[in-house]
Amino acid sequence: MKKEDRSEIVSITSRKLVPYILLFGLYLISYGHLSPGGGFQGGVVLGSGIILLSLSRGIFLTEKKFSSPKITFLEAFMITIFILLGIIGLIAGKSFLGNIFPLKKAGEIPTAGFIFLLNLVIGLKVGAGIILIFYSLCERQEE
Amino acid sequence: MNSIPLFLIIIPLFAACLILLINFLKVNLKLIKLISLSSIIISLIIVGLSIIDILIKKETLIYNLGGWKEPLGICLYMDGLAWFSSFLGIIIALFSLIYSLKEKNYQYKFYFFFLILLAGMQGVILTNDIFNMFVFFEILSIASYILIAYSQESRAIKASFNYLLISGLGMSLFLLGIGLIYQGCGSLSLTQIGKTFSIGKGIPPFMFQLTISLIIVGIGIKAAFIPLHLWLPDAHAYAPTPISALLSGIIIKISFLAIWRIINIVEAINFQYLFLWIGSLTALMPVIWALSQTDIKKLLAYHSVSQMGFIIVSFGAGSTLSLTGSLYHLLNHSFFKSLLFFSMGAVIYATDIRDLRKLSGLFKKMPCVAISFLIGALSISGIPPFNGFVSKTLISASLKEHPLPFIFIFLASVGTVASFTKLMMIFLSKERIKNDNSGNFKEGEKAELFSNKIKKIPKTMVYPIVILSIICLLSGIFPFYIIKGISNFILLKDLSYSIKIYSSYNIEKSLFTFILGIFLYKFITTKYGKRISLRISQMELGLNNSLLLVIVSLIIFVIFDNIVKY
Repeated sequence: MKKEDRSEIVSITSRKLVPYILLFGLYLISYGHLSPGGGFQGGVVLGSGIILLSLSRGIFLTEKKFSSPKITFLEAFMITIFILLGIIGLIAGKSFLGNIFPLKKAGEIPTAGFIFLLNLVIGLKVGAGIILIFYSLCERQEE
Repeated sequence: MNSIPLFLIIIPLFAACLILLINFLKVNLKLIKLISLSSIIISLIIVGLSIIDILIKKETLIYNLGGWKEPLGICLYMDGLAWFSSFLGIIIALFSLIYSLKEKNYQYKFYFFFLILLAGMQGVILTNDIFNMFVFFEILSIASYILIAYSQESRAIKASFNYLLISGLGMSLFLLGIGLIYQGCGSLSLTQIGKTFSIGKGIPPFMFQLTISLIIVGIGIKAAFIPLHLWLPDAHAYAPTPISALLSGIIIKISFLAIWRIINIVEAINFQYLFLWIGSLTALMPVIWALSQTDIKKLLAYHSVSQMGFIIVSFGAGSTLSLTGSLYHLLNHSFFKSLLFFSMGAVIYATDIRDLRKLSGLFKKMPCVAISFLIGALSISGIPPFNGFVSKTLISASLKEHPLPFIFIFLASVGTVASFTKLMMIFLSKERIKNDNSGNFKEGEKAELFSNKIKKIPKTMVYPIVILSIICLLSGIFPFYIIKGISNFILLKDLSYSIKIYSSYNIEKSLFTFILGIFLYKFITTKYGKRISLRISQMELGLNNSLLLVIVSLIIFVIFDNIVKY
């Protein structure tokens, strides 16, 4: 994208919006077991925040901050962590993906055992995946 | 609760993720190969240990994922049939992996998708939840789309894309069927579906027929029976050789076994009768196309479809003898088809030629591969004392009450002999590149071929070929243990009458087939036969037609029951 093509309004609005979008994504992930939302949906919102940034500021600048190898590593790391979490449940004497944390009453802090952890892992993985798909689509256009 | 079924799925999955992760450390490719090989060997050991529980104590291993029990949670079941297919899958995967170790083109992504394919395959076999089966089918398909297009040649990409479109249609039909089942009985676990989803328990007959047809056609695209097979020859032929062996050897059979399980569970016996006819057509039709092929791997791919017909037709006949024959042929076909793909892959590796008209006199240059290929070809043609003879005898013995499918199967065997004689000629005929005037070669190509030295085949490619050919020979010489094992431990039924495999009638019949096959080969090498086979090879249906055929076959599946009644 050339510099004169870019609208000031779009640029500033999206820059102000992106942190809130990311925050909303994290909210969706962390409240996934209580309210509508969850790992996948939150991850898509996280990814769309970065996509908005790269649409308004240009892919070049965004890729400097969120570089493609880093994001690929995040994705690969998160899927491994997910399976490891499942195996930890197995080692702790429960079944695969069985809960290892103590369960408390609804409303107290670790409400749903380790579902929060699973949601977080899935959210980061999906967000990374969405960003990577976007990056590879853009790369094709620039060629 | 027994965690063996779980480990069979998560060991390849975890190894795949590990490969993805350690690739960032810029490690040697050898470590990646070691991880994938060891994960498959560990799976093999685990599945070998479970033989005590499954086949001797006759238990069903059940695993509740996340600790949630049957109607709510997802369960993994491992009974005799699942053990059989899981074991077979891991063995073929092990051979394919060993075969691919020395190929230089395969980067970490190949091993990653290979293990994902294995995990998806094990998941489809072991799950007892129909939606979970759908998810694992998708994992398996996505891995196979990418692996088919791995070489990045244009025809491979085209084949993979065709497969993607057709299989995508099939999977959405399957998903629709799952939705209808969930609407009908409110559960997704196969045990619950078996209890509640039947015409006697309040499901309208048309609804039942529609649901089961959607599921069968959806999975049937992967099992590749007629008329859903059109994607298969290209996809299996242009995939990398270890992947062709894995796809032809095991994936299409896993899909068929999923249909088998679903039909058994909902007791849709009327569908079995349809499979008798579909199976006999599937055995015969692709042979005609296979006879006219000149690409060596494509010829084998057409024969995969044809041999699936043998398996399906004896599933359709429905007696204990025919089911035993079906499973035995399934076992044999995965061994000899992967053997044939491996040896043809070795020929392509050594010479870089895929056209069988250009290859000749290879026996002296690669005797080991040639002898193993000969064993595989004799097995697939049903010549004693190799394993194909035993299972084909069982199948034709069980088809005595159905004369027309019997004749179809016989003709298909004749065609198989003819086309494998044609393929065998690349080893047996005299070297004739120098004075070949048939016009098959382009200008300058002949001289280049003649000067081109044949590459040495690495030992990791030769070992799987030799071991598989020994397995083909042994399981043909000692068939009784395997027949007993299949009928008693997997089907859990006694084979009430004794069958004499090596009787003079059977041997004479196979000799007769062989002689007719040779005559057919002589016919297609004449001028007239060549013209016919050229005409046939041009009659390949495209993507549009195959999508249309999916819909047509769905309609046939839905309404055939009413046609049979009137």
